[in-house]
Amino acid sequence: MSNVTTTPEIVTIDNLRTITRTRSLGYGISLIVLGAIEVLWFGSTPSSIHTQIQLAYNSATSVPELSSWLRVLVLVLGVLVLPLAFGPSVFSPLPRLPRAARIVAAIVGVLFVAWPISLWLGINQDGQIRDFLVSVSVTGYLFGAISAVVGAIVVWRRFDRLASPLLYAGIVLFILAFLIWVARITPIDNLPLPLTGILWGAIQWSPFLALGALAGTMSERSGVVNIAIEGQFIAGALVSTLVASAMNGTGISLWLALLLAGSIGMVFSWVLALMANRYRANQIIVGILLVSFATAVSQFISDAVLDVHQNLNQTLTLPTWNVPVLSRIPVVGPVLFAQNIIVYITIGMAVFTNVLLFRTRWGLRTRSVGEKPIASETVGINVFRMRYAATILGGFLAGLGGAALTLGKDTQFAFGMSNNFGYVALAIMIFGRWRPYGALVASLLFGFTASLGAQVSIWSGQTHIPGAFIDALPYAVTILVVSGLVGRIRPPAADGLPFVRR
Amino acid sequence: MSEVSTKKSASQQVLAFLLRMRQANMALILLLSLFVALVFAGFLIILTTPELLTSWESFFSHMGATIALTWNTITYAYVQLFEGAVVNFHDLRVLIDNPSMANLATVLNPLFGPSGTVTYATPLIVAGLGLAIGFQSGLFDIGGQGQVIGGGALCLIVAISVHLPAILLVPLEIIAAMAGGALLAAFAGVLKAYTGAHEVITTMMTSRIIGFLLPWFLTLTFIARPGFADGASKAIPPAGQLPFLLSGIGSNLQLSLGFVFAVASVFAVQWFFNRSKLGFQLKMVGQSPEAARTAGINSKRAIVVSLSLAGAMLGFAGMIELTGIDHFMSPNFGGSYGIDAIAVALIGRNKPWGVFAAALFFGAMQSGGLAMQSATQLQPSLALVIQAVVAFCVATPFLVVDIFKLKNGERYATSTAAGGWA
Amino acid sequence: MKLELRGITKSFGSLVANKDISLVVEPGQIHCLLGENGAGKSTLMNVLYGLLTPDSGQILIDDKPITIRDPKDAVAHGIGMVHQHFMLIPVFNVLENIILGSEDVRPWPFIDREAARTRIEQIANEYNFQIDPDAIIENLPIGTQQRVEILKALSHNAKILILDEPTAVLTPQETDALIEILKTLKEQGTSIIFITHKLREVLAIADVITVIRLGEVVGSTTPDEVNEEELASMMVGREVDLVVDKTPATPGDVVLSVSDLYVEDDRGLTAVKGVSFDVRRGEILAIAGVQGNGQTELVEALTGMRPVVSGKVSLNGDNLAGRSVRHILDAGVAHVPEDRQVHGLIPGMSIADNLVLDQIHSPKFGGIFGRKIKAIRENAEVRRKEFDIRSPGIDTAVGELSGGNQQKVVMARELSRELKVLICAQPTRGLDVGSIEFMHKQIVANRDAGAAVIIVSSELDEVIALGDRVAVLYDGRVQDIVPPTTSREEFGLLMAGARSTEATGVTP
Repeated sequence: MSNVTTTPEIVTIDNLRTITRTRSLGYGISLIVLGAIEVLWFGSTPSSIHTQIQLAYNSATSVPELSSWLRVLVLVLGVLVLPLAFGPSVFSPLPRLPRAARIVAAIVGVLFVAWPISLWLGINQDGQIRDFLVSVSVTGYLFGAISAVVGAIVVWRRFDRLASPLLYAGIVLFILAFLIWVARITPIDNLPLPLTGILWGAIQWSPFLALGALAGTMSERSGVVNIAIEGQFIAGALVSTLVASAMNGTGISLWLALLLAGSIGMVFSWVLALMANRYRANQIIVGILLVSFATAVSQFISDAVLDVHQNLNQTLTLPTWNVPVLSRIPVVGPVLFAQNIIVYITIGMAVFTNVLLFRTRWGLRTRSVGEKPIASETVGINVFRMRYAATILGGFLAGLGGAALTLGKDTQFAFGMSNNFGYVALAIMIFGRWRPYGALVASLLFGFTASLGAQVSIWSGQTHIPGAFIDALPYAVTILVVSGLVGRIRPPAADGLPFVRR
Repeated sequence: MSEVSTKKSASQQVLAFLLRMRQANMALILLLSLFVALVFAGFLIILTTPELLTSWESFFSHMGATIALTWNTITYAYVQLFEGAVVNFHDLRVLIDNPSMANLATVLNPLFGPSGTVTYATPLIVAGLGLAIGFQSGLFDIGGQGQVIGGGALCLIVAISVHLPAILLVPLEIIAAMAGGALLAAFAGVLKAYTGAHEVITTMMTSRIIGFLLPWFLTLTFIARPGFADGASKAIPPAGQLPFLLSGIGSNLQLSLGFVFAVASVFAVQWFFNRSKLGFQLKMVGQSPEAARTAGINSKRAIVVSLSLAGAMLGFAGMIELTGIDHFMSPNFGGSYGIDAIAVALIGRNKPWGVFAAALFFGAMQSGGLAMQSATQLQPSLALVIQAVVAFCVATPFLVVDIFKLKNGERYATSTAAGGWA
Repeated sequence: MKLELRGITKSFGSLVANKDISLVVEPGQIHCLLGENGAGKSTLMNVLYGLLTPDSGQILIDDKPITIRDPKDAVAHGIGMVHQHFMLIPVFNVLENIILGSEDVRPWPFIDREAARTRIEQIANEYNFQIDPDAIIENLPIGTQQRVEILKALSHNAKILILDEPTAVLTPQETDALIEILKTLKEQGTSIIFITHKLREVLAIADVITVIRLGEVVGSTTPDEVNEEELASMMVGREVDLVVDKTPATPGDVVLSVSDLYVEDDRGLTAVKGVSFDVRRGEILAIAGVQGNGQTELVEALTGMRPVVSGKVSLNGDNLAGRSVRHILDAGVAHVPEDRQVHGLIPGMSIADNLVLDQIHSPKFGGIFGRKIKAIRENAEVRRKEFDIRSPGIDTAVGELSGGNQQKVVMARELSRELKVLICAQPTRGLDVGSIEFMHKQIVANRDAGAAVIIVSSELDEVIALGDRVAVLYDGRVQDIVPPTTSREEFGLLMAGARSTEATGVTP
């Protein structure tokens, strides 16, 4: 009578393994397939065909020359600095520095060692990083082999945790091989592959999307679905251009423009939050209607004001900042450290929202409200206030995203310029799993396809890919993303559900 | 004294009457929404008309003149808008004084006026009905634009490649267009049903993709019209065009058979929701997916079916646009019917005749906007602003109820159930 | 700390949920609040906790009147509450759930997790709780989640702890553990208000018992002065007669046969583990067990709403496992779902429409020209009379009806078909006594008419009263199938996972 059985089953390490085992299998096989395609498709190119890869970006970001004895001096300095990054663990008399100092030491050390060595290897040519010629078929064989072997190891060893990063790496290799295949030098065409330029373009293009996705993340973490991001882009773009142009693009005006663009985004979000909280409206309907409102008003202002007063719609841009030293690192330097200010603002905003949501009291409360508002209320949290705050703060980011479309991209306002990318931003938010860094990384994926599209249109006529297909690529990727390419993603549990006080 | 007191009682009567009028109902909410929209648009007129702005700068010195000028400018614009949308009073008087076919044609007016309004409204009626089907079953098909284009494209292929008499060709075009729209929407439906991808994103994305592919489609050799560089398609053969209904009155009156189709669609959708089994089941899914599933309805299938039906209607709208109005496809085919139809369905509160009326309102704003532009230099996009504000106010009626402190507005206090991404 | 409620009155529209309620909780006392479902216990506690504002009345702590406008005030006054549905964020960990709302920030605005951890470990040690602060709530068993709730209240320095139906979701072992915890708390001077409708628990732990009926205090007593029967009659206002008036069953052939059924829950864990049983014509098989032991999944699998992993369900020899809901319903299975608001009805639709939800495709109510509106309306009029559905008319939206009338609509719909099997999940949950009796009569009448009936209920009393045989479900397995005359102790053991025989429960 007393043979009482065990406690209810919970998720154990064992059944977690069985869940993910299929993943390492599928991902590994995908890698093998990618490798096979690379070998069979790109590898079959005649071995005489080469591609010219341009790593140079511009003279402001070229690698500085050093005379021979300076090269030695820098190398010695680098060798001396580098151990500081590891501290006593490599050599006991070394001091244990704080983390930030160690990071700086590591960067400086690597730079100082790599710089003279790459100069000796002849990286520069005429004051610029020289171009490299690679064989298309060799690239295909090499990348294909790497991909297939790694894939086989993943399947064989059941590398579950490494499976998805390895698959992403494999996809990056595949894309690179594909680009090298497209941009080949033939007797007729000469299509160099500006690799640094494409990567720079990817980062230069994506801030507005990242900001939009951050805005969505902010408000949805608190339980309010913001589908009006598209409208906030439009409004932010219009306001930023109007303000900056009215003040003729003087230094302070650009910053004021950013501020006001953010503010108009906040106004939209306030309306949305009001509808969601006070009237318990369907947030999707309200969002769509806010977009159509912004579209109509922007079209009218575009027709009635901007077309008449051209001086109110100037092509203005925020300054570009070349980070000293760092911007001169080959490829990485120009891509990451020679960008428009808005890129740095966006990265800062991602860090800010991440810290805010996951480290602070405010963030904990906001997330609780997005998961189970009734539980938050019982511990004395004002659900509505948290939702208003998060949504409106998100609105600032979305409005800023609008400004990034104009001032961040060196363009004037044009009706329809946001091109429904506000909805893409939502997909990015989902892809980024409702996390700020996720949003940042996911937006780069879209930036990359956009940058690629721009490159293809430069090549247009010389390749066999119609531009329309490349233009459509980000949207197709979005569909793949939301239909579970990245696995089932769980949104905040109370997302989109109005809170009813008892 | 007595005069004052009677005045007072009169004003009290007016007040009492107004109070009685403040009972919330949909007609009043519509009127108030329109009022809000006109006031908002009025502000935009002031802000964008240089004479008014200068006049307002010296507001305190010429108060009366400023107000009079503003009032006159705005009312003139709105009268033009109304006459362009509904009927031109001058032309109407001419017709009454001197009834003739030619004068009737002038009143009906090919460009603005009643004929223009109905012509613009026709594809919108059908498209709005499609979205209403989606909304009723709890699905937000916001990529109607792509489905309009997709329907138009298939219809075009059929029209230029099949040689049949009109009586056979037109039904064939309808089937092709419906299939085109339905396939695109069904794609989003299948994704929603089997992967959980939210239809708001997938329909919008497919729509964008179709939008990018359209110019490419128009350059294909069997589609492109020889000698046109701007990407116009071959024209629909006469047998495939919808006949004009009013050509007996005026040769350039463009109201086509499509309007009859649209009215028939209203009846069909009315029947679908009130009487058909499928319509009832879709409504069940829309109101309570859980209860529908418990009652044995396959909710996955319902999602696909509902979106397919919506897409078919949008494709049909594309066919009416193509064969009844444009007669060829250009890169900006379909205007903004897909997006406007959302607002139409919301203003019509997803009721078939409501959609019909809302679409007529949008058509009126279109033709009225053009009329206003030709008379006042104001941009026709002002009409879009009015549309958008009305749509916003009607879809969120509790806002209007609250602003105007209407009585018994509780039943408008909350709108349809909201949902997240899950 | 002494708590006193004076003349609390709270009404919702015309319904008076609390009428002039007064009670006193002395320091270090376990005060049981006993009453039927819907008697107003939860309303009263929500008033005390600041979730509802009373229409009139006073709350006094240590004889000083205080005002409680929101939960924050309640917490500030040392009142803690463990809700029936836990107020925990499933995706947060234990630490985050406990500190939520009273986070230490150092430096501002960053959460000081280390301080919080120290504080939680200190309290946990003090009351002898064993809890991992980093465990995610949704991975914890229910009993542990409840302990987190208690810890949360204690970390807010609660001097008065309200527990709302704390044992409804617990196994008997977990209930025992909870009672131990409560006794410890009491010794440390915490006052406890324990809300329940289970008589045995009340007698086991209460110092003082206050019985509430229809929003009013019926009386106050102590465990020494009363027995179960007296308490029960105080609760319902008349001698309880839970014995349903029914003749002994005359079972016929086996209609529904379930063998070795495996079903997974939403998280992909096996919730039903090899369940087998037969149900015969003209008998009621009651399925007993603590909530969350696979009942929901079992019913959903039987009705086709949840995929069957393996096993067989056959209706007169035809396999039903893995078939669609529509197929199963058409085969003659009627389903009264657990949650009528969500699964059983469409609140926005009329009574007439709700009465044909799952029959709209039958030729009776729909032809090729659409739904037969006249037939649907006639059907509604007939059912409304037959089942005594109190409403202004058949066009009233179902959402506007009372719970009992809503359940009558569901019953009327399900019983109006040709049915071979009737599956009722929690058929009387949240209903008044009158409606309960009506439902029970209907179920027995259907049994006598020859249906095979399955009743799933977590109320042991209902199971004993209705069932001809009782299958006890524990951890997804049938522990045993026993006659309803089995003693309560025996039932208790079975529900706690003990088996009376070593057979796998296929005893017919």
